[in-house]
Amino acid sequence: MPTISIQLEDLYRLLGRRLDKKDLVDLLTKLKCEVEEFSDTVLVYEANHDRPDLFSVEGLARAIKNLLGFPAGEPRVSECGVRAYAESVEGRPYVAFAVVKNVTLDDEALRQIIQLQEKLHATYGRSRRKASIGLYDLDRVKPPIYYKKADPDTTRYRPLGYDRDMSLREVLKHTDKGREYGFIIEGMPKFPVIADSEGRILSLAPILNSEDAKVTTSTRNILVDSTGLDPRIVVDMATIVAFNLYERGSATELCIVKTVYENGTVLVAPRLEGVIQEVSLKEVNELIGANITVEEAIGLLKQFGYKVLSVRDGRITAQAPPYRVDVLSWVDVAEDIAIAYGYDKLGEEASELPPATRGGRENPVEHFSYFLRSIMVSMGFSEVANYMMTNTNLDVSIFGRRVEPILVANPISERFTSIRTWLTPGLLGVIVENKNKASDFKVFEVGDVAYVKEGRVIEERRIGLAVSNYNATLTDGLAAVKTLLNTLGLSPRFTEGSVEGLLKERTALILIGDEVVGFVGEIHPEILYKLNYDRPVVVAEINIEKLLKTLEKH
Amino acid sequence: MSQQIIVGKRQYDVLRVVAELNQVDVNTLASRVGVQPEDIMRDLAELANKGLLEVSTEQKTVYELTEYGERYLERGLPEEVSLRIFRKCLHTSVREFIECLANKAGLSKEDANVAFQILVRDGCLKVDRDGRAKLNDEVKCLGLREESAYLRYMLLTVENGLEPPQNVVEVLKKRRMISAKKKSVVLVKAKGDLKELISRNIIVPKQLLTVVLPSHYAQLEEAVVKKFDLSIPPPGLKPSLSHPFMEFIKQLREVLVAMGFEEVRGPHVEAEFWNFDVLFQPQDHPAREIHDTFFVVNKAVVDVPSEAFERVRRIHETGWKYSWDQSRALRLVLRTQCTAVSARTIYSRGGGEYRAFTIDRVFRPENLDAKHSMEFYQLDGIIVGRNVNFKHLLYFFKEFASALGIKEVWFKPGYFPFTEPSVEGYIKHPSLGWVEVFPGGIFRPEVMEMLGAKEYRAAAWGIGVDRLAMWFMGVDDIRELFARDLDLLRDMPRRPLPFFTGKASGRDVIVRPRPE
Repeated sequence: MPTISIQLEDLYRLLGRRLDKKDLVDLLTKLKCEVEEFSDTVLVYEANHDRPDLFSVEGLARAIKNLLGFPAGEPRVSECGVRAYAESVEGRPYVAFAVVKNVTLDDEALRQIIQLQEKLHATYGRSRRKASIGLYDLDRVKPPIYYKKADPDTTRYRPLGYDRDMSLREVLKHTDKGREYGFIIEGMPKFPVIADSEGRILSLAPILNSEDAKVTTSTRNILVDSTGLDPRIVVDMATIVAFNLYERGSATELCIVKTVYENGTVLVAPRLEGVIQEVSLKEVNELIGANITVEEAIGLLKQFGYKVLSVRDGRITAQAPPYRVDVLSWVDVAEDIAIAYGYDKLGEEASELPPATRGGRENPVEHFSYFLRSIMVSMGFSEVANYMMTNTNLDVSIFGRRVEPILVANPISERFTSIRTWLTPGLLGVIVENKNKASDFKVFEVGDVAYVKEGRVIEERRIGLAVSNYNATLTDGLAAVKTLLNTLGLSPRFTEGSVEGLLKERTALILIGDEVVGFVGEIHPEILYKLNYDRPVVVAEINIEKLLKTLEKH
Repeated sequence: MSQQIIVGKRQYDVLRVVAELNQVDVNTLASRVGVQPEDIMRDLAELANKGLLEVSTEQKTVYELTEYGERYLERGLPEEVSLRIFRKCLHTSVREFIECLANKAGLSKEDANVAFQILVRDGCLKVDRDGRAKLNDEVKCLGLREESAYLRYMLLTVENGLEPPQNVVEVLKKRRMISAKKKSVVLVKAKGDLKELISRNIIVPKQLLTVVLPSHYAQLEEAVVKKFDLSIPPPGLKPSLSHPFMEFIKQLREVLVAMGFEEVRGPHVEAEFWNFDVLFQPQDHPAREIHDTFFVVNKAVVDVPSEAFERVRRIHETGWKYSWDQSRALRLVLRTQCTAVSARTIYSRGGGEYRAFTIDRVFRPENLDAKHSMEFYQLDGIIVGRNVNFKHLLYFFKEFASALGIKEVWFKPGYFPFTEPSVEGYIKHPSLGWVEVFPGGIFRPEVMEMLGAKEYRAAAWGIGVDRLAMWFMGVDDIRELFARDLDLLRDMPRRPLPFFTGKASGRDVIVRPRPE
């Protein structure tokens, strides 16, 4: 989750008041922000993915003002006459622009803008693939603004932070951002750029802006762009940035920019009207389990910046602030009501579960597994537990198994590259690791294994056991298996069989009726020798679900 | 058998010595039995009471070895040692002969003198006219040799506390080898036919019982049951035990079952469809990238209902504004959350009023270290019904906390793509403070619609079991939950008692407005 760092002085200046540390933490909690660091000057918090409007101090200050009950009122909006035109750009088809006037920026404000931009890119913009953001000093740009395709080799501009002009292709090659994000556009025949009416390149979207139009502390009027794959998302991004900038100054104005597309479509930003949701207070109360009245609900909604448009028959039509992109349906409004009402209050009131319609039940496989465990322990076996994730070599290759294991495409450690296909390697591992601590081992494990068979994923719950000492033979395994199954009222038959990794002369298949339910056998001495282990090891594995089915038939 | 006389082991030894010697003083008796005299005084009194012995105290003359007696006992009497070498000194003057005896036999002058006189007196030697020592009678010499050996044996008898015949006493006294003393002595005498009673096994010793068999029951009076010293630490056993972490999971299952939940299971190798898509996580959601999910190489299938595809497509495309890819939904992952099992449960049962849970393993690309694991357990549960609400969810958590003996909780607003409202529940651990253990919420209507239970709500949660287990088991390294060291596993603390106290219910759990 994005981590946001702000200066407390900056926050208090935007709020117009100072806050007690404890109260501030409570407010952050209501906004789902988690405090990471809180010094006398700096606050670091984790914001949630679904609230990109809180990715900078301006948005946080605005949300706190709402919660404290002194909202800002309607934004000042003007028509400032900036127009924009968009060519159809395949691969990155959408762009939206917005303008904010009369901002006052200092170094901290610039830092917050950059932070907001980066966090938006990383989360909502999906590393710029889905959408990206750019900001420019409007006074160094000659509108109208154009979004268009440009030749990668003949088009040149001076990228931000560089002292020389480069071709678009050079920007991809020679700048850090170009190397990091170039993959998004490098396959396109022509690259998407933003230019002004005099042909100045403002940006190679979504890679790098120009040095010439960059925003500094002396910038007063800012042009915002967002390019991307979805028309709503680009307007969302431009709106969030514009509204957060709007908080910087007492005389700021939002200017609406209409972007006209070749096909006649028009995208308008910033968005001034937020999402409208009609919520039934009855449904809200049913969802959260409260008895909130209409009057209370209206007050609670205002704490989260909603405008109540109308109230009729217990149905409230509420409009979210334009920068809130997380309000997808009425339940999102209901959650804001619940948070404003207070989770502590709801938690305190909570005193019952819905009436139960039936008793609890264990899963038969789990119940049966625990039953088998108790028999194993009573036979003197100690229980062990191994990870299901394993190394393919240890699980399959060293035993020469012919099985298709589930392989992980992106392992992060050599030790865990696949899912175990049987329990034996884990049991053997335990014995080998403890070889110097005892001379006699009886261990077992109940666990799940998985593999692919005929194109389907097969998962099995198994019980595995292992006996090892200097005199261990197949008989030790047969005796344990026979006793275990006899205890269940089953009479196993043992027949000769072969299992990869086991000594052929000392391997038996376990049959219940005509069905093979498992095997018993001695690990091949060559494998033990290679593992530097000096005693015979007898293992057995039984498919628990097969046993269960047999027992259910009885 | 009924006529047997059963005595203690030591008393039996006493009787055997007395029977052998017929009469014996207590010192001699004790040394023969191998104990100190004071140890058997009580035994003697008991045996006398039984009429087997007679114990009396007598003033008795006792003899002790003098310095000479001790020396002669050790080295031999002077005449005895002289007889071995005297031939080498013959035919010399008397004075020279005595000196020769002293030198060759290692005798003092005085003893050599005594030896000479005795040899002459008993006719072994003679002194001729010229005053030279000469052999007189070989037979007499042999007789003297026997007699001196006998006297030495008598010295041994005295040392053993016995009395030699009177004539011998006189000789020994005269030669200052013994001295007489008056002393009161406890004398023990056999009474009746003690020897026969022993030899016929009428008197028998008591048994010492280490293992007490049921058949000993009638003889316990006559036997000695070996007593154990309880201050000596007993030896320990190496028990075979169930796995402590699996036991903890079993306890959690019992809590859930007792609360009316039905236990369900689902696959570990899962289609993205169940792990993400039906949970309203868009296909380009960061959680669906390689940093957060293990993807599976194999091209294989698990069951996915094609019937739901159009519904899922519509809801994703409306909600998240992107083009939903069916093939992406069919890709396999190692499930990252047991919520996939909850989703399968609702899909297969549809609407209705029910509660279900699973406790099983999930996988995330984490490096295994003390705090992180690529594989861990989650407890996922759902309460499904028409009227299930968020408060029910909060109360479930209070009740669950109470079942674990937790007394304080804190509810923090949270965010999960598939729930609204969402909560992160914290519990206050007695020593570790506030820790998040309970992420939950009400499944979004979009999720319920995709799962085909549009008219119903579900309270849902996914508790991280490993962290809970670490706190309750007192383990601070997550890897120890899957420890392979058998000694470590055996020594891990186990919890014999339930977590909760009898009276506590969820209503007693205090909800804090903030963590303090």
